[in-house]
Amino acid sequence: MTEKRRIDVISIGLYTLLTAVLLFMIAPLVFVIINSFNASSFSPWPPTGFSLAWYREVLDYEPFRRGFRNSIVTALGTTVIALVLGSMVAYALSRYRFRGRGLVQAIFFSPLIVPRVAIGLMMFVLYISMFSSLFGTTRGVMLAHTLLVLPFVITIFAANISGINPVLEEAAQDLGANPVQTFIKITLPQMRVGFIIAGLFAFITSFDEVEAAIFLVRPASNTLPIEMFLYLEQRQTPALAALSSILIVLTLAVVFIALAVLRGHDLRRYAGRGG
Amino acid sequence: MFLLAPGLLFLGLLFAWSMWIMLRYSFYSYDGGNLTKDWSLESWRRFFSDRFYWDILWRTAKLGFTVTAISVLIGYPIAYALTRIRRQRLLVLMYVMIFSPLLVSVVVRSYGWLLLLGRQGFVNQALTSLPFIDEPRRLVFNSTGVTIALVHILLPFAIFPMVSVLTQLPPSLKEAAMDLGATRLQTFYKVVLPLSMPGIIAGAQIVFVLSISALVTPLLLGGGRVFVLSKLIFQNITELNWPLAAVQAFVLLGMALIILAVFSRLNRATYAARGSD
Repeated sequence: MTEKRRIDVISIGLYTLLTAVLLFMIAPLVFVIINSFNASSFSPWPPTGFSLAWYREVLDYEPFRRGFRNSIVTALGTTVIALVLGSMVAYALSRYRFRGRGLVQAIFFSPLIVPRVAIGLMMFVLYISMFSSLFGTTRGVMLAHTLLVLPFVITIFAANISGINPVLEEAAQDLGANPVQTFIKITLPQMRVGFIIAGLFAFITSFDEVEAAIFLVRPASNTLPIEMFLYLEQRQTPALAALSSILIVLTLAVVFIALAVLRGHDLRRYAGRGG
Repeated sequence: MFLLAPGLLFLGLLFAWSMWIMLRYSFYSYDGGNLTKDWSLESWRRFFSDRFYWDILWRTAKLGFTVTAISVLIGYPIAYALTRIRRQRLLVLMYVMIFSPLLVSVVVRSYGWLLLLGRQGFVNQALTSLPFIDEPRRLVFNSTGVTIALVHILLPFAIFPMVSVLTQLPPSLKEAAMDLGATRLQTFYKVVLPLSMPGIIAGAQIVFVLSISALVTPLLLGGGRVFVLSKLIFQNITELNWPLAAVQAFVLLGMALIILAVFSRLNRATYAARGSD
């Protein structure tokens, strides 16, 4: 009986902590959204009144508009390069057994250990001493971001590929397809889930990344989070909350659309198998 | 092998080459705002002989250890609680709440904490409404604010590996321990906790490495008061002292490698202990 009561105390404690931590996790985002409607520019709690003025201000603020364009270009470029390189590397690593495979794997995962600040500095000295045309450009940030996301993209693709039955590929080859045809017609379509998840990951990471990019930009190539950071160092008006809220909603929308596409795709595949 | 070539070329060119150039930069000399390509050990010597830099190194490590300890201590019970939830929809909702902050920029999250912890923020309003606190507490622009925000940002990275280890734990082990007469608490300390050590260690590794290299959060929530190594690197870049920045980047990388190695050794020790039982 006493044993039973103690278990309940533990369970209650555990679930109380869980609730508290869940609230802790979403608190900053919730307060950012609430504050975006705050009438006072000093962001006091509780808000002094309701206002949509900050949204108008943010949409008209040229550095944010330019930053948004730069971030979109950077993130799209990063995603494309990382998906092309990552899918090829992941395929080679999970389908072929060769000498030095462990070493190659270690090489591809090495950027993970290096702090982002150090990666930013490394790329900075590389650009200024070797490729001065890359410094301060979106292309330069793109390459640094590709380096950052590549290990994750490879991991996602590797998990995806390990779920693909190699028998289908062998069958295609038996029927006379060469390896390239097999890859394009059989393997690639089955890697669609990997492309969606890895692409989403690469895009969001690159879009949001500050700590490496801040070493590589000039004002004209500033990405949106860098502009937001610079703005925040000067002022803390709710304009930043308005922009953050727009980004939170946009990101959630993109993620939910991607998940919906994925689920529909999976459903179709299962339905196809059933019929 | 043509599949590997582009990736290796990309990585080799960018990663290995830039690392090599950064190493060379750390041996260049810097004198009164001028960078010259004369070989010199000056920056390395300066870093390791100045007590100021040792102090920063210590503060960076302390911040890393504090954030890691809090994240593991909070993250483990959370991971444990999550594995006990049977209602699938509730579980998905909880995962979304825990991992959704990862979808927004670290700038947005730091800003959120500035709002919450500021002098007129929600937390201080709530605190001063309590009967025994009448002055707002200073929660931002010091290490408290930086620690809170870093725990918030890194907690998902601690929870994820612990959840995956705990869900892989076969329930039969727990049942066996209970059948042999162990109480729930004994089962936890003797079976569940030791077997989930690899997840705890993996979580701690990720959180430590990410917390010592954080830049935006210490800059925004630390105001001018919280000095960490990554901040010095950033400052030295703007002051054109690239050799010293390079040395500091290598020290930061070294710190990350040492901690990763120590934790991996610990991990092996737990496996060894398990093997000898």
